[in-house]
Amino acid sequence: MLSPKQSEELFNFSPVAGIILKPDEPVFTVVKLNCAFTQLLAGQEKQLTGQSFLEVFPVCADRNAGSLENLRRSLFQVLSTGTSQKLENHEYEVPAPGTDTFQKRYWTLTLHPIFNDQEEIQYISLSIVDVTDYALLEKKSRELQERNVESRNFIMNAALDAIICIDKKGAITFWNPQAEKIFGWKEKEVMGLILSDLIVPPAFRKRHEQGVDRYVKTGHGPALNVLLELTAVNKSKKEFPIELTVLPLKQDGEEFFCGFIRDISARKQQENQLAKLTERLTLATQAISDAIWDWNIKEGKIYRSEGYNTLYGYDFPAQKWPENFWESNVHPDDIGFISARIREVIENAEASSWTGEYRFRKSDGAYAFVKENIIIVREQSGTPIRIVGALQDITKAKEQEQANQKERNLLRAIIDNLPDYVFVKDRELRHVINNQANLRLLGAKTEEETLGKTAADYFAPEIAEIIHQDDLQLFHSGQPIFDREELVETPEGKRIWIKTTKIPLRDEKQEIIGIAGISQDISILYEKEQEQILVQNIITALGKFESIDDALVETLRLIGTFMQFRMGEAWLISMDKKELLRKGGWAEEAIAEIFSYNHRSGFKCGEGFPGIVWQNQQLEVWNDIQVDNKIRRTEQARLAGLNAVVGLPILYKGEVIAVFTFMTDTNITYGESISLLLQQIAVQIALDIQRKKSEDELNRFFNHSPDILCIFGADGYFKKINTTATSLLGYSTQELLSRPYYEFVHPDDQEFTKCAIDKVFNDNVPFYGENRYITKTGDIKWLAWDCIPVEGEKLLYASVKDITEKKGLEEEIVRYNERIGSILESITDGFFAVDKDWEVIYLNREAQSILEVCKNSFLGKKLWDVISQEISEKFTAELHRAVVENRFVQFEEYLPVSDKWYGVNAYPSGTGLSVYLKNITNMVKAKQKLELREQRFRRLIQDGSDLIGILDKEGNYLYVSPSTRQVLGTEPEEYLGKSAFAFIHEDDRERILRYFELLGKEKRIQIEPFRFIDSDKNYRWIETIVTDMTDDPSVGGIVVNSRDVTQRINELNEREKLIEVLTQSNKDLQQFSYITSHNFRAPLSNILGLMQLVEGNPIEDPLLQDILDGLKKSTLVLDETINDLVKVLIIKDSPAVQKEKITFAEVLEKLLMHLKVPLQEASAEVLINTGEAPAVYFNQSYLESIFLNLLTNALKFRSPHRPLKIEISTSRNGKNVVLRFKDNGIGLEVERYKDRLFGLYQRFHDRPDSKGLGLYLIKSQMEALGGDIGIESRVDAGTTFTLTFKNNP
Amino acid sequence: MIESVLIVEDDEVTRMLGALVVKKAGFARNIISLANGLAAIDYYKELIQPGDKLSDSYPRIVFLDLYMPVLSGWEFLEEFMRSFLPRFPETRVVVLSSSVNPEDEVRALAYPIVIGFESKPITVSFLTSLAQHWNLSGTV
Repeated sequence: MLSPKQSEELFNFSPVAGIILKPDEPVFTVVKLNCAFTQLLAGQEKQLTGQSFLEVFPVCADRNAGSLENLRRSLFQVLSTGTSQKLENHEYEVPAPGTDTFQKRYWTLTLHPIFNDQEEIQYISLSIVDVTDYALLEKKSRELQERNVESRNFIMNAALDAIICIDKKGAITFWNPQAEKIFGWKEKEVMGLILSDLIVPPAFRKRHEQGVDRYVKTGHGPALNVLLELTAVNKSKKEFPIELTVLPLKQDGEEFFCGFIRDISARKQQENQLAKLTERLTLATQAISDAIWDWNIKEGKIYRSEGYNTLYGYDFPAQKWPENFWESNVHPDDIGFISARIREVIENAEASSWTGEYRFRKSDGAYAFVKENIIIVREQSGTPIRIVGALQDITKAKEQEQANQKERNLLRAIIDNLPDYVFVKDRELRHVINNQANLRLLGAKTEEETLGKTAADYFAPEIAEIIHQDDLQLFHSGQPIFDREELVETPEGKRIWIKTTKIPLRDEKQEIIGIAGISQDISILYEKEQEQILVQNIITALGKFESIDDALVETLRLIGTFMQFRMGEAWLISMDKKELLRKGGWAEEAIAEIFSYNHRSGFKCGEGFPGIVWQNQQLEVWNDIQVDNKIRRTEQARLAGLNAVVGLPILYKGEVIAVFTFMTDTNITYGESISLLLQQIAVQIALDIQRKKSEDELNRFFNHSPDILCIFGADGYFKKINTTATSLLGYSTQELLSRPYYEFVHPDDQEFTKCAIDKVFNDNVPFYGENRYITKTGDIKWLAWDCIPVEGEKLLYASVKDITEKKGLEEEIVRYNERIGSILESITDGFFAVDKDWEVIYLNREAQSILEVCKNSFLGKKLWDVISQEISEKFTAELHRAVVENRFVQFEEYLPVSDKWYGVNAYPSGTGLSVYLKNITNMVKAKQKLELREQRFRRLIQDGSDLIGILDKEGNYLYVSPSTRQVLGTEPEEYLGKSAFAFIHEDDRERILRYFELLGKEKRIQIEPFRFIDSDKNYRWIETIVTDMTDDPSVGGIVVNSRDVTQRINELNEREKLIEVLTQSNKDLQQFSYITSHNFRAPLSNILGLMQLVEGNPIEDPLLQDILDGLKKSTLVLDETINDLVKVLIIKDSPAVQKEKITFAEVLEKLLMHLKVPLQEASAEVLINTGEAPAVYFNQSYLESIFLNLLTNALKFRSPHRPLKIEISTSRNGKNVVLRFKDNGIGLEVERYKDRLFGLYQRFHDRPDSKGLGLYLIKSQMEALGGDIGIESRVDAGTTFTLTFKNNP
Repeated sequence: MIESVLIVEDDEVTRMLGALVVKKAGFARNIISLANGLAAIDYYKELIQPGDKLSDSYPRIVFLDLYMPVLSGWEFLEEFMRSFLPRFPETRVVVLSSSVNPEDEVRALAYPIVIGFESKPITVSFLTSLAQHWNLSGTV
């Protein structure tokens, strides 16, 4: 025995939840509970001991009221009976662990009384086992089972047949409603009874029982699984025929039989009646030669006549025709249709007869074509009572017709399978034949519906009119129409371009009886062409418009219109590449208002739709933009009814330079075609946009320069001038460009300005000068000019500074000098004074020595007489000017004898003139030097895009010109002190270094283009001239003068690529020609072959014969045309044809033999004289072809009034051999046709055997080998061809 | 009349036409029509199976199209020369093509077994002259 403690532990750790209750009804106080029970509480830490059990039982009190009531009752029962109680498999709502919700569990509760020694119930134990998993499983399998039974019974009960199941002993286990109907027994009456007692007639009962027994013993049952016809008996003891199938089945190891039974009384009755009818018919129709049948419906009898024997070989004595005789002998392909038709006629109470044709099998197995006439005799009510039919054998006629049809079908099949549109029209231009492709184009379902209709029935009026006119013309002229391009609309509303060739169909008398045509869909080619035109237009627009903004608006409009977008905007990357700036917008007129307001003008990368396109660098298509505010301007899109937006990045050198955005109203399917098209456009216009952009940027530099910049033509007009000029001079750009420049120059300065400019153009040297301009308001501006001629262009680039202020200051100084001049008498400079008559009044020592005069003899003498030093004319002129104009003059005078420069200041006064001479030789020389250098530098540095740098001997930068900002995007300071080689592409560095090393030996080196890095880490191509000026103290370094030639190099590279592409595309085209001709010839040769096969087969339909003849003729023409074209293709394509030495006479002899008959017919005389040049280096087959063409031409175009005479002679002309071919034929008007004489398909006489190819071929063959052909002719006098051969091997 | 000819041609109509013309010209008793070079290779593989009696009456003339899907006439010629010619030495090939590229003709006639390069369509008169010229008669 266990100790109480052991018992308690056992209870406590039992896996079964247990609880001990006091029997103190109705409270049932909880005494003890074990761990498993605590777990059931799902962590609801409640003090249970001492509580009433029913209150703390862990289930949802509201939802389990019934269960709790059960539990209470069971507890009472335990108390009252003293027995155990079990509540099995009940459903409870139990708190789910860790939540406030409840879950469904299935529990089995066991209540057990615990007695004390006095046999009184001391406690009640209650245990809980969770059986949820079993319960669910069971429930499911039960449901499944129910459903199976249900569906089986449903099928069985609904069956049309009676279904009866019996067990091995023959007792009935299943009886469906149909069985009740057939046998009259109700299900409940028969269940469990022996089947054979009920439904098997007494006569058959024994056999039935034996069969069942045998199967049970041997497993063998011949009556099982087959369809049997038996006799059964019903409840009222009536016997009737049934059809029966018995299946042996096994279920749960138990064998039983299932029978499917059908009452066939009605059918049996009909069969009997039929037998009677047959007899009648035999008698009635024996005499008639057709096969006759007579069906007496009322009696159900059918009779067939002797004709079935004589015509079809069927002989069934005593009218014992097999069942389904007719059905089983009608051709399987016909039976369905024919029997349906006959049934239809019989059921139609109005119909009294029917005629039809079908194939009927004879007894030897062959099929005969029969024509059947049926006559139906009906009662008043319309019910048929008798049907009589006669079968006539029409095999012979039918076979002939079929043979014809087969040929027709064959041709049709070929034509119908051509992808091109083929049609034939009659004399009235009505459609006669259309192949499948053309029917689709016309939108017609069948050919019949097109018969009698014309183009006007199918095409838009304007197209139909063109077609009609073409057709009329063709009828009129008899000339085929080749490759007419037309825009037509398909039934689906798609507009396509087709290319049509039409040829006349002629009858034997050569009269045109119709038109045959073949059209080809060339839309794809056309669309490609349109795209190309679009791109061309865009590029033209980019070139045409002065400002980039206008050009972009035009570009948007072109793309938008072409793609059917409704608005578009163009965004360009800003110069600092930090922002996309809106440069232009275009919108359809209807919505232009909505998009006309001032938008936000910039987007950063990745910001907004344009920014995203920029970031992704690829075509973006967003649909449904009105939803979710996908774009910033959703509101405008809504107003304009736009739904889709397309973003097209324009990439140049792998970098986005612009973004085009477009909006449209319908969503866009992101198909390959649209993206491909847009991207192609983008690629093709990128370069031009970049160019335009650069131009625009350059313009901005141009206009924002503080100096006037201009381009100036030799004709005296400004060609281009920046805005600085307009603001300085007050004239508009237009005014400045429209008048000769000197009209703006101060009249006093015009003369010398003209001279200076002429000199610049003539000598082609730079020029610096100053002159005065007059502004619009009449003010005078002093301008300093720095001009550089552009070699070979008759243009001059000038940078102009406003020096008015400086000039003002200069004048101020002059005035100042005037004031103090008189005081400066004691100075050591040369000084002299003259009176009004130029008599010397005073002359100081310095002046004497300068001018080399003797002091004693000069006073009172004329100045000009005393100066022995050689003075310039200017000196004289200036002094005179001072006196005449009464103004101070100052100038520099060079005295060659002393080789000295003097500054001359002359001050006029009331009495005469005071003149100072100051030795300024050193100053002038220094200044000249300085000025020269300054000028040179300024020009180099200021002018445009040249990069100037000065390097020390190690190649480090000492100075860099500011033009780096424009060219490289860098600040010049960045370079100072750094090695120039660090910026050169590493692949080029070695090469440049070698140049650099040459500098010791050479002063000036030109360096081929190399790559130099710019601010964006891209390499620019730079062309450089290096000059060693280390020895020049004013420079003290190596001067590098570079120019950005990136665009030129790129263009060069692109051109090379283009040539490569073109060469390839040429090859592709050649290949394409071969493939096209191959593909064209393949079906054509089929048609030719088939035509040859068709010949010899009789065709009865005369129209078809005409059409066939027409088709044959046209096909032959087409074949010949293609062969001709191929000949041309091969000549055009063979650059190197074999040449050999050929004797003219031999070739001619061979050809004359060949043409003997036609030449004799024409009584032709051929004179050959090749003595002077008997042979030539040429291609044998070409020469034969040429002579053949010339001879046949001469034959064709001979005069009817005189016998043909041909003269052939050769001669030498230097290295060339010249052959003259002269005839006396009808000639032609050379002047009139000269441009077309040797063209392809050019004809000058209307002759049926002239194709207009001969002269073209001759010319092609001659030219292929470097020769030439010329013609002279007079109408009705003859023609002379002159062939010039290059006579080299 | 020879025992059998092989027509290798991808175009169904041409194939049918070829068969009709061969029949009309009385050129061969049996006509085998195959749709491409691979089918023809398979046919020859089948022929060289041991015990196949038919292999003696193999086609003496093959009418071959050049441009066919799957395996072209060129590829067929290569493969035939490499693998089958020793076994079927009397085989002669007439190329029937719509190709207008003169290089094709030069290239085809370079094969020793190719005895002709004909433009389609195949005609009765061509077959008659072929039979005369090559003195083709029954070989079985």
